Amino acid sequence: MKFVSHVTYCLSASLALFAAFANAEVELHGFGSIRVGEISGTIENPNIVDLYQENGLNWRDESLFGLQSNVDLSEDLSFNTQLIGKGINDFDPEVTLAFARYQISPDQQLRFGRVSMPLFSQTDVQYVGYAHDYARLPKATYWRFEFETVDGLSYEAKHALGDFTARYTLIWAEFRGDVFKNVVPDGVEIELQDMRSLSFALGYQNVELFAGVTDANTKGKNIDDFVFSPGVRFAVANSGADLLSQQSFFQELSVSKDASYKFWGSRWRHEDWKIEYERAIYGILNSIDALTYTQYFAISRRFDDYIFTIHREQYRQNQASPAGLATITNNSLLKIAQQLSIGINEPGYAMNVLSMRYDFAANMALKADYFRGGSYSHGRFNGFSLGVDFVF
Amino acid sequence: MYSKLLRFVILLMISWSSAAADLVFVVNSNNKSEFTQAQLMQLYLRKAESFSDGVAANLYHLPRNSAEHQQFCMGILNLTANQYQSFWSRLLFTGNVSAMEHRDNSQMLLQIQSDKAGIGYLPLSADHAGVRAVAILRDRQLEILVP
Repeated sequence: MKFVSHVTYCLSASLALFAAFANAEVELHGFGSIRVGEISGTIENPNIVDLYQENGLNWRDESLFGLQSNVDLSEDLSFNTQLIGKGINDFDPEVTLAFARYQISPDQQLRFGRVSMPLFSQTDVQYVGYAHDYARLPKATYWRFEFETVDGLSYEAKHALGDFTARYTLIWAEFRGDVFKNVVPDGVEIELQDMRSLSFALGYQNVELFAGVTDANTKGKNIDDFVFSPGVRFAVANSGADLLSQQSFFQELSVSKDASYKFWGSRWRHEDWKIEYERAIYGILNSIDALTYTQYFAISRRFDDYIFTIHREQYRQNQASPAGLATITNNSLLKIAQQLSIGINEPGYAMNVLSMRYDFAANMALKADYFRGGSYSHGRFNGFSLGVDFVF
Repeated sequence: MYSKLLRFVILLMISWSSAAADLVFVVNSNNKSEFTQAQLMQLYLRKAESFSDGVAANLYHLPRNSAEHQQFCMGILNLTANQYQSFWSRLLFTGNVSAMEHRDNSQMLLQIQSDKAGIGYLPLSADHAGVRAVAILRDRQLEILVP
């Protein structure tokens, strides 16, 4: 699958040239968010929930601009590219989507290139604020992973039978990039190979059930090097454990293992009301990474062009029980592993959020939210945001 | 003074209700597919892509700021026009659809007459000769027309 990244860019370039020579019709659209917000807590800048890493009002972290082009090369074949410049990355544009789409039939399509990976139910529109009613999608679940877009092949199909509808997506892909950019300036390189994903949504009248699962083989030597810092290696070497136990320690806690992402939930609409619930469990299995459990429950009510949503979101990682610790029998090594787990795994938080959307102009929505919650590691916190989401 | 105010309110309500005209859903006259309310909703929400004969549907809308479009959104989809635009942008920015296509009454008629896969809606009072009427939306109630 390593060739896919290179093929993506070759494909982008060749199709763009083809489009230019063929005078194919190019459709351009854009979206953006300009948002200011602040978080404060019992300690200065609690630096939790991956929000507003600096003190005071923050204009940058959630502001972004996106541009998308769609080129119809024929009735069945089109090419899409999407660039996003995020404020948190100094608005440096990155290619988030670049795929060729082949329409097999009206209800089936193949995509090849850089495609969206449905880690969660609304992963594919989390940056298009105008497309959803939250000020931001529940952060506990929508943490914004670098591998939300991957390079590979996607098959999508839809079926409708009476009042029932079904949509499902199969993806085979890979990811190679940097993660932990909020911890290390240049991030830490990671590879997710042989990613396989199945997601589906079943609808009946006003009810929708959705679920998805993604598995991947993680190649995380650089993350292992990052986790097993010289200080950790020194502590292990001086733990008094035999050499075999020391080697086993690193093998058991290594993140070069299988990763798994699962989500499921439902949404229900009735007249002006909408209720939504989503739950997700994910992590790198049998490693130092403790499984992450997230969920949110939201109720929305529409008043013409105003939509008010109140939701509760929770994020939890059990620092005491990463599966990798289970096989470490040496007490000294176990203590080191437990300290590592505390440093790496976030014990979690829960917060309640009240958000408002007001469609004040064509293609523009004003959004505001107020959130309040508590973190196991950082105490209580609260914050707000105000912003405008738009599309064109 | 109160009676004047009452008359004003009644006039306002009459003018408001008259602004919301009945709508007729139309397809090309060669389109022999069967329609249900659920199917119309699925087509406009892109949960289904094709008519019952398997042909991919091309959707057309009246202008976004028209009373008819707003009535269509609320009557068929239970969404405001803004919410429908928001929903559509969700599809657009995942590469699943093109921009929503809007036509005025006369353009809509010509479009549906010429596009074998087209489906659109018009005020019931507007000319809809040369196309097949498949349903009427009246007071948020959809009546499917049997061919």
